[in-house]
Amino acid sequence: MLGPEILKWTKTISLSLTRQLTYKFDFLLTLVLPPLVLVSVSYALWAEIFDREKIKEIGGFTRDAMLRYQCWTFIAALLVRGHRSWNLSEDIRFGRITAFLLYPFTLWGAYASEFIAFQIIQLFVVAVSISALCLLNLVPMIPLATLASGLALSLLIAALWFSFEFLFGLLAFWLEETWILRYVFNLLTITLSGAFIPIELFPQWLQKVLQYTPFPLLTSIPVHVFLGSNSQPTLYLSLRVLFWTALASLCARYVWRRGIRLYSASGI
Amino acid sequence: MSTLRPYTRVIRQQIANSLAKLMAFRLSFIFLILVEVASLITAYIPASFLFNHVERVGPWNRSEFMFFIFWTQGMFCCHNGLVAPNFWNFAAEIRTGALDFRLLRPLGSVFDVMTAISRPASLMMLPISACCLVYFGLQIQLSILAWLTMPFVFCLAFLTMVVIELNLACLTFWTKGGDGANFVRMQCQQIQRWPDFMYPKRSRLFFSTAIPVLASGSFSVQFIFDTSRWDRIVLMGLAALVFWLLASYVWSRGLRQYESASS
Repeated sequence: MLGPEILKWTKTISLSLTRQLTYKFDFLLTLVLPPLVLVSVSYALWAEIFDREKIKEIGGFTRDAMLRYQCWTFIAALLVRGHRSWNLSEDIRFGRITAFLLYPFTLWGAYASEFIAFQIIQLFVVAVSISALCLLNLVPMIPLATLASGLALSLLIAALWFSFEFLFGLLAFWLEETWILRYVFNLLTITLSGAFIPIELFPQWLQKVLQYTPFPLLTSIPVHVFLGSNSQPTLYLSLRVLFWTALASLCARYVWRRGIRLYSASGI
Repeated sequence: MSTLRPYTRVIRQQIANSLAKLMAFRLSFIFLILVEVASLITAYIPASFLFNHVERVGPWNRSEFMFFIFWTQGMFCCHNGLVAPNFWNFAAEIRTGALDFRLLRPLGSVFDVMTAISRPASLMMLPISACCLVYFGLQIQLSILAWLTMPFVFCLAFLTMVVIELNLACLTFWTKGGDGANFVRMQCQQIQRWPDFMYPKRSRLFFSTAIPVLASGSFSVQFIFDTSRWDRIVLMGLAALVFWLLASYVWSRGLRQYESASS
């Protein structure tokens, strides 16, 4: 009974892998370049601040600790904030999801397969990136257990990011342009997740507020796990991620049920 | 004069279309304003938090740095309102072959592509950026010459930014997907969002000469802060001119490379 189901998934994942790697240069430009530029800018900014003013410590970060933090944000960004689901809104508006209403494979399944395929590619990109960072002496070698724990948590958080993006995409049943929501969420994530400035440098009141949001999970927490400076148990962090993922998935399910009633399949 | 007439008519019609669209899709209008508000806040917050911990970033104090932030933010407002949607539209038109119809029109193809869409909603945040500019400008006690030349310098900086991006957008003729070139363009914006002195020497040289994205933001503000530095304006104007000539060449090469997807 499970056999055909697994076959559907593996076939779709393999198809997605081929599709995503067809235009390799475009893939690199769209998915590797943005986090690389972001981390290069923040790395340069922090190096300049520490070096020019001869500052020893800012918010508990020494120069080396801050620069290592910035390097690991690049790895976290590659794993967590990479999936491109911007086709979903276009698929809905142009009536292309009709096929999924007829196929023996759901729309969510197709997008989840694409997400899994993407994460497989990103794991290779991350392996190369970590090796390069270590070889360039930008980050020290970390214990294998810490690396494994960081990677596992990042992959779990990637599922959370996928759930949010899928939810935003589904709003295309009502909205003409859903890129706006994704763009704003992305901007807020870069600012509030500690991707540019570590959360430890935010005012105390904001740090407390952010604890009740998913933002720290999207950069700060996985980076601290990689750095080995995280004080919370990984199990607790995983439960937090699962809570937000479940919430986003439930919302997506609700939105799908409401939205599909409005859907008129063009081309039929 | 007769050559310019069709162009002015097109611009007039484009403005009318954009306003009609603005009134028709009110929710999109609100969302676009939301984007600009978020963009403004997320540019201000990191800089503000940073200055809670440090006195200066490079040679600039808080007011000078904030002036720079709102200067670039003003440029991005104009960019999002007038230019950015056209770059994305250009990529989509190459992919679908819809560019054919633009090439058939009796207008310059660059003009037609770059004025196809405008988003007046994005321009609505420009007065807020301008107010912040004036506020921080008063704090740093800019000279009268700086205030007088500011609109001109702003326009030149914006023009330089657009011309450089036009060259990058031409990459779309060669990259199959189309979005890749736009992502390169967006990353250049990320680089020019920050002052040139914070980049290492080699990167600074590269982004001031080879792809002079730092010229539009940093050079213009350096002139505003110190109006004796005319070399900054000359360099920026030179960059705009060279990159305009380059864009004309790359555009014509790109058109020869273009294989229409619709025919």
